[in-house]
Amino acid sequence: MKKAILILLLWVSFPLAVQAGSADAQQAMRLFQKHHYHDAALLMYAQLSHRTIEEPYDIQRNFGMICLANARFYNRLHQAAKPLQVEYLKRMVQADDQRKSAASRLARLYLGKALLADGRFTPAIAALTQFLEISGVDEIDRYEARVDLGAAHHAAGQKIRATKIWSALPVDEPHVAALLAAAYQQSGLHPEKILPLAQGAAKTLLTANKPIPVQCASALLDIYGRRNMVREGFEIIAHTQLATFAREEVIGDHKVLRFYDAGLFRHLSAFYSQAAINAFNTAKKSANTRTSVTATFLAGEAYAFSRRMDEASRAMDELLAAAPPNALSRLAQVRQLAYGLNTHSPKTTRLDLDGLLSEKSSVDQLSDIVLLCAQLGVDCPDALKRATLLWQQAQGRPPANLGMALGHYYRARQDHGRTLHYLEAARDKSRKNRIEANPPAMLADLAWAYYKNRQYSEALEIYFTMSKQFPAVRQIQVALQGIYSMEQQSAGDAKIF
Amino acid sequence: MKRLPNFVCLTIIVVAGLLLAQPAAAIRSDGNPDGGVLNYGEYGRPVTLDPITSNDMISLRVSELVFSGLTAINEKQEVVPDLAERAEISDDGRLYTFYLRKDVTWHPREGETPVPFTADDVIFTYNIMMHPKTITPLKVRNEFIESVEKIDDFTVRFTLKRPILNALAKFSFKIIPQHGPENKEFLTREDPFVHHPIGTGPYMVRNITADREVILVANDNYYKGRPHIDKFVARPFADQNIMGQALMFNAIDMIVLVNHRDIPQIQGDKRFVLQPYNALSYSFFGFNIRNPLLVDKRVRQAFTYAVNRQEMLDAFFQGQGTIISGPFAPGSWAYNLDIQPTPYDPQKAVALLKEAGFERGPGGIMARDGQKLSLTLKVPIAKESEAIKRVVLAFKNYLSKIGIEIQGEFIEWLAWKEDIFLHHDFDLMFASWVFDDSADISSLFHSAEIGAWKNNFGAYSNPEVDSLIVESKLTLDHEKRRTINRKLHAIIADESPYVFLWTLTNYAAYNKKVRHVGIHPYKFFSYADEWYIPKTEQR
Repeated sequence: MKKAILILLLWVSFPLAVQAGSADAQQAMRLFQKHHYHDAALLMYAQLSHRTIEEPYDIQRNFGMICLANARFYNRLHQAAKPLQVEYLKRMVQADDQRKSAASRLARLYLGKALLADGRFTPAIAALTQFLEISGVDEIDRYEARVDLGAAHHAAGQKIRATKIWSALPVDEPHVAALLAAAYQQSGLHPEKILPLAQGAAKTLLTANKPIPVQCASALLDIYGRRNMVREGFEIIAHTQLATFAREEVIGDHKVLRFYDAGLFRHLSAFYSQAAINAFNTAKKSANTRTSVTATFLAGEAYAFSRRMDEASRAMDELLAAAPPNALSRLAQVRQLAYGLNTHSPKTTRLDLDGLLSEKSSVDQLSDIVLLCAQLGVDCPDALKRATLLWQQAQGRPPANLGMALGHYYRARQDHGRTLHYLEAARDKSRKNRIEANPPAMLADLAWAYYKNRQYSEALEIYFTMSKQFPAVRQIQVALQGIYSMEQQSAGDAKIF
Repeated sequence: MKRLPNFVCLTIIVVAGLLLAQPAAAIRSDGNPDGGVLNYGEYGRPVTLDPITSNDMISLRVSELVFSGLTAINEKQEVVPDLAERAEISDDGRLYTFYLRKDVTWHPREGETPVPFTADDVIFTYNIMMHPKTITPLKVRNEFIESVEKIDDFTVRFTLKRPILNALAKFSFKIIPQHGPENKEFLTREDPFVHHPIGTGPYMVRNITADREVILVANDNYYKGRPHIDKFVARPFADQNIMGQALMFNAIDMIVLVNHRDIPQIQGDKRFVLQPYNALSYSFFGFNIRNPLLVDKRVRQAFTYAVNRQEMLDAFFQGQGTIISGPFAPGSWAYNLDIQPTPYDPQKAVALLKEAGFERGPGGIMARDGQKLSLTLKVPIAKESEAIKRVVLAFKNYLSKIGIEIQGEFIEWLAWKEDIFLHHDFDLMFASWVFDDSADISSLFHSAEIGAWKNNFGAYSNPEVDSLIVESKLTLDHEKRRTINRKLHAIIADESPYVFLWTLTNYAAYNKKVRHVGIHPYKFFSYADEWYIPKTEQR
């Protein structure tokens, strides 16, 4: 996908000087090109929010690109954070049970939340039920547990039970209202209550003159993303410290635990994805062909990312009907085919995608197809074989885009050894962890591969640098530090280097 | 009694092996060829080659090839058996009984019959290591042991003062032979053993050449089987640029630490593998707090405010690193993410000096009670020397702007170590620490570690830090230990016994002819017995 965006960037050639946008819009694009997606999104949104009209459309398209990059990146983080949180909290609970002293009261609540976010409903119900049996915990934590317990029951098919649990919650409490609204949203229950609850909570939280609690922000983003309420969502992001923990627990003099919102990355990703779709659909209206066709292509990409494959296919049909230039046309043809395929039938998909290859398939084309396969979760053995061969036969350093494509492909297949091999080779080692030199999504997958290979310090180093631009990464850092501290087996040595 | 699964597995293998042959060494069955020489570039000469008296990485790498411990850490970071084939731990976590391998012999000295490794060697190592006159950073690491006793020739039992986390990993300290050192009571750097040691590991020290190259040859009797590569040669380079060129021109096969400027070139050359390892290191300027001018923490803090670390990192290391805020590396589980690095703020630096009673005196130098803030800085000539020279120059310039005068002195590695660790003859020093992943800073900052050849060279002392360090070691609760380490980070960052600088990217580079290369993130050569060079590529 990265390559496709680069081609687009080249084609539209970014005539920054002639863009109708302000200096801020140009600065936002510079930040985007440096992979500072978070700052770029906030800056560009601030620019757009001052406008009363949709134009200029190229700025809308650029905003969409920034949002899509955020969506993809947060999705990568979500894929890492989910299992990490579960692993970390499980170990914490196990250790507490064994030690039987200085145990956390909140660990089971957050384990339940993490399990729920990971789609493991039965163990989530068990953890949350156990938490509710603990005496003396704060009421607000009990309410949260009940919201999640209801959600877990509902997801496990016990709808009446869920409704019963939720019905006893105090919705005048904004914290509870926000979480409950998100639970209703996910369950499809009480559609009429969702927006009043969410907006009431948001109003109270936004006027409270302090940062919005991160779990409330996460819930509201979930709602606003699904309801296409981009402006409201950005207002929440602007008033939330994404690095902040959801709860802190102090046990005795020397034990402080911090718990984080397990759904944050998923909700950020979904929200940004919807914001991207909106922006591209607006930009498609441009009379400028370059702007409209690139926006159409990117709308297809954004739909595909959101797994809205019919709309993604339609976008490619629309684009090809507009006779775009060759480079874009080739990319669109591949996607038209890929999006139109039944991705639940990998065999068919595999054959058709491989059929797009020719003897003269270039590194760029191969990289694009392998990446597409990674994104769609399908096999493409011929493309993979050729890409691997090309990578091995490269003179000097193998092409970085090919290495990245292969790395992401193997990441999607949980082959962590190969992921590490290809992404490490593709990494610009002269600026190892810099997101300016290495795409954040690539670094996120590399960090994950290092974690799975038990090279914790390498993974932590990547997240450390990443967190400077993406503060929400803190929750991954804390969980990984926790696992590392339990896993490390060293003697306690220090030497002069 | 609890028994560890890894150890159990190996017991079965060992018993079977003993029935077949004793004491002949095992034969490797991986099918890879023996032979060849591996020349590796080091950035300095080792001071000593034994595992007890050394406190630098150059020595550690050699001793990793020469010695073995009761336990070891494998590539998956699991504790595995080494000289002990199994261990039993009492239910209260205080008794550790090790059953030793019976097929291990010490490297023979010339004309000597190989001597078997026994429980006496384990007892001897512990006793000599803990002797008050032995100078070693290992003492603080092993103070959790109350006593050791010999059960029989191949069984030893350690009694711990209290149960601790990761105790088994701590028994990876290297065992030295009872018949090794001349002085059987304590070990000093004058003992011939530390310069020409014998061990039980895969390689034996043959000799040290006039050029200070350390020649190591394969131990045919290594209990895991003879290592594949015949010979390892550690070649010291005073200048990392020359070391990089030596790799490019095939004069050496491996570099343990690649010069940052060489990274793009090596990454683009298909002959070489550029392998990252170990992020747990950082560089710093350390204060000698014995100097009355440096006792006030505001003075030390002023140094950090006065120095633009990011500018130095970008200019001299191509930005390949991260500014740190305290005594742990960012890749460590103990790093306190809430503590931000001190910003560059020379005005704040001046204000702090004034608060501490300093005023600009003649020549613009800050002075208090007639004593000028004019200090010596001692820097070893080793490792990335060009970049370090620039760092030192920049450091001097930054400080001169706020009225601190620095006289920098570049000193040969061994002399530098004596000045810093033995004589404590310095005001400021430049160095880097590297840690294994236990994040144990006790030897650096605990007041009991002040003294000759000890790691708390600057005499930093804070009872609260001492108490937190001890509590961190005592606890069996990982989360409590994390919290304590975060507190330590915050306190030490505030008290600034060092100007904490940065952690740099570490890469090894090696010629692709060397195969099956696994690099331990800290000890480097832990798996070197499995490396090999195909016959066609052996020189």
